[in-house]
Amino acid sequence: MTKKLTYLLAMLSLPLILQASEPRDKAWLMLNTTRSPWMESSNAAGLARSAPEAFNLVDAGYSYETGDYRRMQSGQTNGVMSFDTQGALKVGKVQLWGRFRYDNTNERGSSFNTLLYDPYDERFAYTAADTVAGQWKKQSYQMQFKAAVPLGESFAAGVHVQYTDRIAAGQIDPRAESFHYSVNVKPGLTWHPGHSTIGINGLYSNTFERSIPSISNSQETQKVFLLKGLGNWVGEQVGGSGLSTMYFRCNTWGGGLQYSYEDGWKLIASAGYARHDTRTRESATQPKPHGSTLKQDYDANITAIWGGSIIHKLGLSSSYAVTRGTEPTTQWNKETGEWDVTFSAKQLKLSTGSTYLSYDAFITEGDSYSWHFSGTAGIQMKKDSYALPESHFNYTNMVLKAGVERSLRFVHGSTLLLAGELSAVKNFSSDYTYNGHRTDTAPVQVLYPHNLSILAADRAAAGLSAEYAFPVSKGLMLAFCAEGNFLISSVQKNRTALSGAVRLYF
Amino acid sequence: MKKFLYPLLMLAVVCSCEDKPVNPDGPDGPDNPGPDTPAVTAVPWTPVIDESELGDAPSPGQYKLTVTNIGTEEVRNFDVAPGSGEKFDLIPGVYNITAQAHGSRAGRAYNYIGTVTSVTLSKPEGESTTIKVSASASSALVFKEIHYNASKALGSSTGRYLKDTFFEIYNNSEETVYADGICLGDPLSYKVFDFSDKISNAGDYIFMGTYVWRIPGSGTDYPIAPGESFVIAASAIDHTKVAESLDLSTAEFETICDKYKDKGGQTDANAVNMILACTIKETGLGNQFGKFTDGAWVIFYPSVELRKDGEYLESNHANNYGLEVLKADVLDAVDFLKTENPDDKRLEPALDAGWLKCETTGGNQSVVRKIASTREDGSIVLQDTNNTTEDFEISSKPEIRRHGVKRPSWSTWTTAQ
Repeated sequence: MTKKLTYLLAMLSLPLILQASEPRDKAWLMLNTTRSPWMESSNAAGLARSAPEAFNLVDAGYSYETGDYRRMQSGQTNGVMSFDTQGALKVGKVQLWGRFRYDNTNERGSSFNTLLYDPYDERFAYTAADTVAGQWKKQSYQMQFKAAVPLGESFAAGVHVQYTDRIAAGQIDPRAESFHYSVNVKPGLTWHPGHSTIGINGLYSNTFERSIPSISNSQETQKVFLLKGLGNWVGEQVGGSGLSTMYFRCNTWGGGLQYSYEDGWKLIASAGYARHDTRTRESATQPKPHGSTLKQDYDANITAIWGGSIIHKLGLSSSYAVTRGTEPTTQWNKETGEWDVTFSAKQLKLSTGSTYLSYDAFITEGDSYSWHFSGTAGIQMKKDSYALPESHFNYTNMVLKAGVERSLRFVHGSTLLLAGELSAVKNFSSDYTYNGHRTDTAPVQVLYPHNLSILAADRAAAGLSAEYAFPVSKGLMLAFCAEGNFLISSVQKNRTALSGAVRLYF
Repeated sequence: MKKFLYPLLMLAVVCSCEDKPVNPDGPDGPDNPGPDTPAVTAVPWTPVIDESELGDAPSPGQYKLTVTNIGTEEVRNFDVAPGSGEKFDLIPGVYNITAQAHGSRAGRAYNYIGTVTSVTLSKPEGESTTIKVSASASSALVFKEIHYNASKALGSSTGRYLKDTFFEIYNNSEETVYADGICLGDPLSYKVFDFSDKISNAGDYIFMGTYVWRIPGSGTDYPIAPGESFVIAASAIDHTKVAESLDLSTAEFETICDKYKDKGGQTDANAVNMILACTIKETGLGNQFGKFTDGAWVIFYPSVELRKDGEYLESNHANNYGLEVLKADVLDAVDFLKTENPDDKRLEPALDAGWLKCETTGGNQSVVRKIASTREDGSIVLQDTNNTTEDFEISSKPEIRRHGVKRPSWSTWTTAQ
């Protein structure tokens, strides 16, 4: 805990160091970062020539979600208290950006997740699930910074470092305490011939999650499913001599290439690749392999920005991830006192893809904007398969989004930002097929059919938000914001999300 | 225009990521999937029944094969005649295979059994496995019903009542036998615990892990006629007053002794008290049986004197001790698993070829042996194929002496409550 407080204080101090000179608000911040497309790239070196203006933001908020439109592993209700601060500044020749975020989550009514902070992380496909509608308390600390420095006239170097520390505690048997650590380093280089910039970056990430299952009522052991994928599982229990501590370890290697062009208008294109090797083991003293996954991420983006009084931003992004799972058959070796892997089979393949075309138009007013119109159209695809027994989980959706923001500026420097967004998802196809021997069990009868009905439902959502910001002293803006979102779906399940926050811009 | 070529090329690379199935034996090893490898394919498998060790027993003509994938826990059954050469498609994996049959000749019943464990079947061109079977005559005394997971306490949604477990043991033969000296114990897993460096011919023994209870008597005090059963209760009282349970006040024996009278404050009913012969490992449970839900049980008649407390053998796991019992002394054995993974079996297939998945404590469930046939006098013959999976079923209503089974002639009491 002392370590976490140290991190917290260190990160809190960063925005104070990175002081800006003028008051800012949300509309200004959005336009500021939009004008700096390298901010969103995976290569920090690009910030050396394309950095946003200095800014600082402190955000403390609470959000609450409730409703039946959720996957089984998500809470019926979900409350998140968050603290988020970030800032950017140039110190000498070095461009800096830093961010700290803390989330405290209270999740109720989720099931089919016995062990993990994030049950949807496909790297950790070999995990345990149970049918008890439980409660999780989760905390996440995320710290990151980017630094970029020019190397002569034509080159720049940069690094993006991110550290994540998460803990989660299940509150109802079968429960678990989960400790997750991740460090992510992306060194990068850029070269600037003329109006162009060419970048290359590397990626290394080390992720570790340790989950300790337990029961409070020692008289009643709890049945869990050790998931293999798409309804295939083997039985285990929590309590007694059942499931012991689980270890998830992942090493990630990857990199990216970027190209940008600036000559009054801006263009940035990038492509990235990451390879995640994950091993899941039970017990530290007598390690028992539970499966390994190899996840490969591919992404490509291209964005163009042009205009003056009206700034246009047009983007096309595509991502594809494939996870292949290898499951071992293990046997206890009495001679060596170890678990032997007698047979391994590559049974599982999880594929996720999406492509989005987005357009934003900002009608500018000084350094900010008075109107912002946005639209997105995209395709989402999921295509999962299990070799034998042959099983499938597929869907294809079309996504449409449209939004509008109106920024009003009043005398004495106060601002009001009103926003509305409509979104819709139309499903084209979906299928869950299971051909194994677990036909009558909960993963086959409940988990996958339910999750498919959620993910492949036709749905529409409407959201409204407002932020009122006013200066409290020179260079300091205080803002209050509220947001509401309501979703309805074709499966008669709805979801409501409400949030509020207090922000400081300086 | 050239400026756009690079990003478009990148997008094309992403979009061209082809969807390929996977292969367990890909050339790049199990952890490095090759993008162009074929899908996992079924293995054509041929079982070969070897009857060379049947001795005088006749061939049953057909065997039931139980093939268990120890990775996926899938269990498949096939009927196979010796020498048929029939092939079956199996998912690649590691398997335990059991061949079983039941037959009779000249009034004697025979069980046929053969097992092969941890067979890896992965070759796409096909594989065969030889299963050597042997025959044995059925035992007289067998477990008939076991109330294994206790029940719920009355007036409490979560309270567990742990004193109402019982074992009913039945004379399945056509001759009178005696219960005197018969022992009840729970064996350790033969896969986990090893005693080979502590005792010669360790393979001839099974090893008890917690308590061994013995029926007292001089040798002829407790006769059990054909069709009669006796009940060993944790506590021979009427449990219906305190739990969603049953009346065990007519049980013949109860596992109570001075040690537990002091500890548990338990009523010493009129049933005959068992002798706590061995305390190999004292458990924290509130009753006198060593295990609930997750354990194997054995009744045996020791042909040699049992070791005394403090003399037990230490296994390959430090501070885990076992009491050796000759397999030849075992009268009946059953294996209950906490999971659905047959790899967790405690008993060797030669003692019990099957297993039963049992629920957790408080379920008020019992396992009940199935009826094989009924004699002319109306008494039942229970199914005994040395395979718990086949011979037993789970009942949500435990009952002693179901199917009208008689009490022994010497069992005349009913505990006054």
